[in-house]
Amino acid sequence: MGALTWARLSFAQQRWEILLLGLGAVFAIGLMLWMTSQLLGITAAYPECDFFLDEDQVALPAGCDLVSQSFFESYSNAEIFLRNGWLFGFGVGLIVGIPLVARDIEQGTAHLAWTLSRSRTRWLLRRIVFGFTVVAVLLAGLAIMTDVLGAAMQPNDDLSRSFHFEGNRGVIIVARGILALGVGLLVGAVLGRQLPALLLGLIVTGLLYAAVTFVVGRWNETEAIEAWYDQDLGAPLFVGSGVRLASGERLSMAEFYGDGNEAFQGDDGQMYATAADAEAERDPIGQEYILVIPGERYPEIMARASLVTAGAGVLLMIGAAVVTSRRRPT
Amino acid sequence: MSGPADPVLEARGLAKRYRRGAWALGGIDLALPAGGITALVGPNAAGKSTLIKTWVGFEKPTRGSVRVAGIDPWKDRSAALAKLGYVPQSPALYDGLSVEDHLDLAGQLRPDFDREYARARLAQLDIPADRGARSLSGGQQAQVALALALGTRAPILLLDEPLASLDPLARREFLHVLTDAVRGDGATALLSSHIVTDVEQACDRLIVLGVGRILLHDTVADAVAVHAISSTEHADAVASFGAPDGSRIWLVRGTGDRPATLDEVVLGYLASGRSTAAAA
Repeated sequence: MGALTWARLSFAQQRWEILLLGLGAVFAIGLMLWMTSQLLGITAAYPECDFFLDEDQVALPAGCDLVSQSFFESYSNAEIFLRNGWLFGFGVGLIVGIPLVARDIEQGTAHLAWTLSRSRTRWLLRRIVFGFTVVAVLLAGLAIMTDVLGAAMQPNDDLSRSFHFEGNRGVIIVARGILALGVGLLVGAVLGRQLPALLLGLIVTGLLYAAVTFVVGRWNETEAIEAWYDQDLGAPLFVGSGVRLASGERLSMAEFYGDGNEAFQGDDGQMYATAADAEAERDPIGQEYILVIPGERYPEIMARASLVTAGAGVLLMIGAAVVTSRRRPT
Repeated sequence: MSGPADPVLEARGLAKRYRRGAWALGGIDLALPAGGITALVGPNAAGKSTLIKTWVGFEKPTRGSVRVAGIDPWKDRSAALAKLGYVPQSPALYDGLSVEDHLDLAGQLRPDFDREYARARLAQLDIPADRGARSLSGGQQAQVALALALGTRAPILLLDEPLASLDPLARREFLHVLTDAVRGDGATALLSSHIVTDVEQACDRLIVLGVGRILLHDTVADAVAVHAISSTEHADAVASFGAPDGSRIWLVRGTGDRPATLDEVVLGYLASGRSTAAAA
């Protein structure tokens, strides 16, 4: 009963932004459902047309050309949405997070709340739980729908074991919302003004997201395996490339060509010193390789990236609690 | 300064300086006894709000210490707040909430909040519980803020200039509710104000604060009884200041030409504080 009353009162304090974001989420989910139905409708109506086959190698049944064109028009629209829609997570987090403390300071209600409640930390914790729930609920629907849309765009793949549209679908969208929630909360608590907090929050979110992406990227590099393009790795995560010399030494592409090497490459990635060697496939000087994480590790890698992202958000929330407990209410 | 045996509000050597600013409080020693309403009077920037906010735990003393019922709010804020009800300078309520919602919120934030008591106070004033806070008049908002503070049933009430923006009728209603509640509950209230006529009606004690120092601390009755006005210069006068007719008058302790009003006592001590500060 107490939790419901708190939720009702918290909602009343932020009803306009929550309603607006809710409408946005419903609209985005509706749009993705429509795009998904378009794609699934085409693939179900024409099971004989495999839109992802290489037409140079396999002849498609008559009529598939036109259907394929229609499929990829829908695919392009969906891709634009999928590749840009992930920003919604940041927007939801900031818009919900900033007012949690900043509005009380800006409008003077912090005087009331911080004296009625004997513990500011407990007050803030309850505000955070509400904000966290709103962000999670709004973004969970979007996260699920991005997975569904992605699956409709790649009907031949099992997207639970594929890095297709990696970072643009699934639980990472919720994690980004939590990161932005933490940024909004902390920046709002420090500045105590909503509009400046929104502007600074956008910048801080961008910087922090770049930092988190860098950390996760370096972590992934340590676990990547060497492979070559024609290996069957599902849809792997590409994390880098280089050349392994005949001596066994590994060089990045920049290092390899930076040494003044002129190289000719065979179809299998072997590197040769001359065109004649490449033609005859003799005396390779090295082998190009790519660093990938196989698609089967998608759930684990994305869960880790999501935890790091959301974890950064939780750390920021702890920072916001420290600031709130020490600052003036004005 | 000697004080009561068990003061409910204390300040010892309290000094507060804002960042890169002047001293708002310059070493205050104060001990307030339990019970009654004490007026904290002084001009703008005298340090009234700062003093109250140090007890609430919103401002940290630069030097010295404060205590609320023997508790240092910077060491145990939770215990200190349990003893306090607070009405801020501009009673800001949540725009999106109704009056009843505010009572619910207070109940959520403070489990022992006496909702029925607060509701009864508001009902006496015909403030509809279902009205949105945004649509209330300034006086009604102040009454809601007071009801929220009274609903805590805290033994100490701190009121930071709640009357400043109210019309005379709203001020009178506010003070009526306050005195009624304080007398009925045996609570202690500290009311900061710069409107001396209100103080005279409602308060038992008077503290005059000026330029960050306590200039006078006495009961209202004694403050009036022991001072007089002289129209001629007195060597041991508290201070001299201009009368409404433009003449110069002197506030003296003891006998003079006529008894002093409370307004004149306050003006005299404020003038004395100003001349001391100027001399320093």
